[in-house]
Amino acid sequence: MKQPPRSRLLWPNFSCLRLQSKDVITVLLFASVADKAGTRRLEIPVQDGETVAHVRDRLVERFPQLEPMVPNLLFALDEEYVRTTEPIRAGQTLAVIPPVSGGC
Amino acid sequence: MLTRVTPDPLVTDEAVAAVGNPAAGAIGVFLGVVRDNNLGRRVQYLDYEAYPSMAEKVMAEIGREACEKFALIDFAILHRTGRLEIGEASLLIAVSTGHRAESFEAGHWIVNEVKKRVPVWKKEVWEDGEEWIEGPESLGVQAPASMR
Repeated sequence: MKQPPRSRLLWPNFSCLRLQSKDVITVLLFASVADKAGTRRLEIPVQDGETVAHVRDRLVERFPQLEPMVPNLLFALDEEYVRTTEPIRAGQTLAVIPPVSGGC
Repeated sequence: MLTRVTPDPLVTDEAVAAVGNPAAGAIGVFLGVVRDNNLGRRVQYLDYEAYPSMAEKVMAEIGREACEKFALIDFAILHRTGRLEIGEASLLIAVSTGHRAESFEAGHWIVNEVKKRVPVWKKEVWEDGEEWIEGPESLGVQAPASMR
């Protein structure tokens, strides 16, 4: 039997892992939302054609305690405020923005 | 133009120097400072959290809008994060303008916009508890239907 090329032995094929990490969106949580969820950063799987609202709903499924806060949340996609109808792509960063209270 | 989110103390002279310009007839400076009471409660200290990279972008947007609205020559907007004691400055704004009136108006407008849009959050800590303040001046409270 013929041996596979040596490089193949040294470098197993990780393409399936890379695919997985590509199909997620990074979600950032802040302030009261981060406290309630118990995390500040997570990855959520996304599919083509989905919007901010899909990610929001998946987040609430995972953390039902966030549900009452939803009407007051804004969202920023790659650091720009967007509507919840905005389409998303894997690899982007979605920030969940509770009502801000900076300044003084 | 100077915008910064930083855990370090805010230095007024730095902001004044940043907006200095030979064409300026006025430099307006505003400091937001930590107050020892809010809604009848005794505040021990505040803890500010930010989304720093986005906050700096939004502050630059606000500054550019102010430049158009008030004929600003230059602006500096700085916000501090982390634990701030009573009397320490959380927000520092400096604007340079040709004449005095615009410097007051622009400073006031910029503070209001910062409180509405910049992703920074304040936690009040009292003797017997703490709470994130979710500001009534924020766009996020009763967010316009178009943004939901």
